[in-house]
Amino acid sequence: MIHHEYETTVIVHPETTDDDMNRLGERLLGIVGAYEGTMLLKEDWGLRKLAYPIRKQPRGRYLYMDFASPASCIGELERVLRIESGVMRFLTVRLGEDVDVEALKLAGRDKSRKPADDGETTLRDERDGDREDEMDDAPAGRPIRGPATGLDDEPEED
Amino acid sequence: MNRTRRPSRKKVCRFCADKSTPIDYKDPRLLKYFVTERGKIVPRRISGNCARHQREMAVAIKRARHIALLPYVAGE
Repeated sequence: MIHHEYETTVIVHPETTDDDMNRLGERLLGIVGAYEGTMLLKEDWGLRKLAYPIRKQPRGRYLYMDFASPASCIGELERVLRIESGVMRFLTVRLGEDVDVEALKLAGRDKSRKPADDGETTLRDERDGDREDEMDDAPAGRPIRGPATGLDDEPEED
Repeated sequence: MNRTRRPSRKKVCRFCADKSTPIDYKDPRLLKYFVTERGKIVPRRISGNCARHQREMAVAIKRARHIALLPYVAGE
């Protein structure tokens, strides 16, 4: 059976409990397993602020997994994701075709892929401030676009 | 004939210059530099990306939008 490497990012409802998160994770793991796929990395990115509201929720819990499986597994996986009520959004991307699973395991695919905190989409510490008024929880004086990095100054439009 | 042409300095695609920078849709910090404040994809003539990397960038931005790491429309 030809195995491809895939990564799937799932956004679940922010009020999902840890138990439900684990149950969903286990279920997805079970599907991948049922197709003789291999889970290379399963990661909880936690609660993040969404760039725009989905199902009227300003934030969502992210679940990310990297796995190798036959292509037929994706159909079943996405079918289940569509049924799971807590799932608000998901995206599966194929990373590699006809991969060697054993080589991937050795290649250390278990590094964290969690997006870096950019102070905008990531919720900072939950302790700061009221959870309800998240729309203006950016501290005053903080630049909206974040600090400039090594990138050349953005050229102005001509 | 009054077209003032600003001296154009040659822009080099930064992904060609630095092959180690992957274009990853999961990295909103990087992607943000190729999106206007409004959330639109910055054209190649401005960003300086080569055709190939601009293409990859466009796909990455669209994926990032889907999983709400980048906005479809931003600002006022």
